[in-house]
Amino acid sequence: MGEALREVFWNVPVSLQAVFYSAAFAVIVIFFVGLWVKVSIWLKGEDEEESPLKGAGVFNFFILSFSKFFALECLLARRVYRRSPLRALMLAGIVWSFIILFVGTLLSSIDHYLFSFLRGNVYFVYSFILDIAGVVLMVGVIVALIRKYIIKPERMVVSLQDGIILSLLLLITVTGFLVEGARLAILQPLNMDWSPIGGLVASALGGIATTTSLKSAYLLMWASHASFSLIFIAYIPYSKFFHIFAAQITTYAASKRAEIRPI
Amino acid sequence: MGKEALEKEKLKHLLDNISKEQLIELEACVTCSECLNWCPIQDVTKDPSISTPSKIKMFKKFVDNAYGLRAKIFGPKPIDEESLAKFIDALYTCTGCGGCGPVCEVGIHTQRLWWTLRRKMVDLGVTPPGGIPNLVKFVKETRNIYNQPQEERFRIWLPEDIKIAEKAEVGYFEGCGLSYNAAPMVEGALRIFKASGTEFTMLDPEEEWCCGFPPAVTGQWEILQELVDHNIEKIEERGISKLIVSCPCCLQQLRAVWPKVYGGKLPFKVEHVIQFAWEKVDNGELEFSKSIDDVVTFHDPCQLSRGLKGPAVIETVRKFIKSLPGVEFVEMERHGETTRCCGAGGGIRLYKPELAMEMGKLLIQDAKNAGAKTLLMCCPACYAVYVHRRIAPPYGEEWKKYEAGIRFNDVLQYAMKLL
Repeated sequence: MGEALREVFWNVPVSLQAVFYSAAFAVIVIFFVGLWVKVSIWLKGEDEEESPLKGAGVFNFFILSFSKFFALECLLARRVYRRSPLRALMLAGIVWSFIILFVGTLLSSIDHYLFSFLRGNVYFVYSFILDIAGVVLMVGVIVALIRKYIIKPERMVVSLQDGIILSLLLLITVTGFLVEGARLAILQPLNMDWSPIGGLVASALGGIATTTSLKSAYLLMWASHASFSLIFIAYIPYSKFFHIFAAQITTYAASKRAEIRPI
Repeated sequence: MGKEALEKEKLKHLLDNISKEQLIELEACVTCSECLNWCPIQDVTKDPSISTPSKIKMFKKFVDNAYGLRAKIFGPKPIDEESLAKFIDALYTCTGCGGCGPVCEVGIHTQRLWWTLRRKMVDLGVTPPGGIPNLVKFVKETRNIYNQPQEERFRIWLPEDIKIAEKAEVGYFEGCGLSYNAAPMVEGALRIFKASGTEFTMLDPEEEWCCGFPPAVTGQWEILQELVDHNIEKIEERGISKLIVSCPCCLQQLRAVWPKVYGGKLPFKVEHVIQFAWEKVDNGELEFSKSIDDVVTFHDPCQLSRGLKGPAVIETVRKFIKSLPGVEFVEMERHGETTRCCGAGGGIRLYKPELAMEMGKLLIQDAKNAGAKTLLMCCPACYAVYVHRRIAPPYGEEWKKYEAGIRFNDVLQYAMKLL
């Protein structure tokens, strides 16, 4: 029995890997084209004398968008908390888990392409944190879906984009757990305690399918997970999910507003 | 696609005069819909299609038509009549109260955004709906928004014992709303000047022109330069170094818009009349000799609590009211930056007066729920709605019959009786 680790592209044929890389490249191009279109519109705006964004350019937008992800307004959904603690919890859950899963994916890439460090105990902790983040994201998205489509408050604007974005996020998390569960069910590692959700899914899948059929299903699940993730990334600058960047800037600007605003 | 309402040539100017911050704000809205819970229009229409997120979404679509990816590849796509009509209806079915701003979870300055988008539409040649264009027509003809004779601004009812100096350091700017719709508010202010021994001056009725707030809030900026230049010239001629203003809309206009139109800092300070009155009470120059047994609440006007950064003024108003002998002050649940709009602003009375009336009823209920016997206010628009029950016909008649079951008054008119 070898050291615990996760092999990237496990059970994925080289041909499918090539398709994935091609699609990922296309998605990156689509993403940056969308980003360029949005930012080029912003740059057409006038500079206001008393605006905290006076003179801001692409670099400032980039710094603000990313640094303010880690401001309390975003991480603790502070502005939302004042109005609805429950919704703030939902939002903070989605934000935290989204950041953790994003960082987790980056670490996995570093581990795969640069140097390997996700092994043994480090891997166990990594696996556990990502498992929990996945559950939190899934619960947050389900709560958002229930609020938008089942509770449906009278004073609520619901658009098609809400459904697309939330469904994509749900599909990404669900297929992510299915991929993990299928892999664990096939490989049967000795210690699955650090992948509590993946372990549960593995037990369920192991009880209803053979290893051979699981291997085929794994590929389908992996391809679905990869597709949903890539579609989601490509969709960000063309949808209202772009607020993850824009809202960081407006929240910052709101906090810096001068006493009297020009109109 | 329907008939073109904004053709490609006009779309080239779609982003003129819109700031970077506002363009980012359009992308920041996540349609969380929190703002709908605080919107007075939603209170009475329950129609999310004219709400803040919907307006933002509609304008974003216009921007996409002009500058989006498709426009970059195939050229701008004109905006059709139906889309424009829906947007204009939503944009003007709004009191401009800004109630959606402080509760915005991503910090969008909505009140300013509506001003900008209304101005944008007018600049693109779109006529505001209903009777709103009359505001500019009347101001051009009679220099006030009510199309009333200029000399009636105050000369015909000014009490004889009130002396107005030819020139003085302190000046008082009435505004159209007070002059023609809430004259007792002016008398309250002037009596406070007199009682505190303040020498003050005013522009002659023919000299004082509309401050430009109603045209500006409805997007009709073309007349502003003339109004601002004229008023500033006349104020300077009177040697005024401190201009006292009662109307919160005038105050907003003078502090935020005039410097922009004038092209720099104004040559005089601008202060709200209750700040002035409180200073006089605080330093002992103004004393009240009578007492009253009453429970009062105060309605924060939108332009004091949200248009300007409010607490400095609205906290002072509370200190002043609490200093009135015998008065018990109670707070309404919605006050300060989340104050409820009375329903009179933003040109709504000239477009959908029936909504103004329904919004007005909700504020009365708030005051009753707080246990108040008197609802105090300091905005001539609110005063016109509640004291004079002035809403455009035919709703005005219905509104006049509505039994409010509570007294209404202006803060200084109320205070004046205790001098």
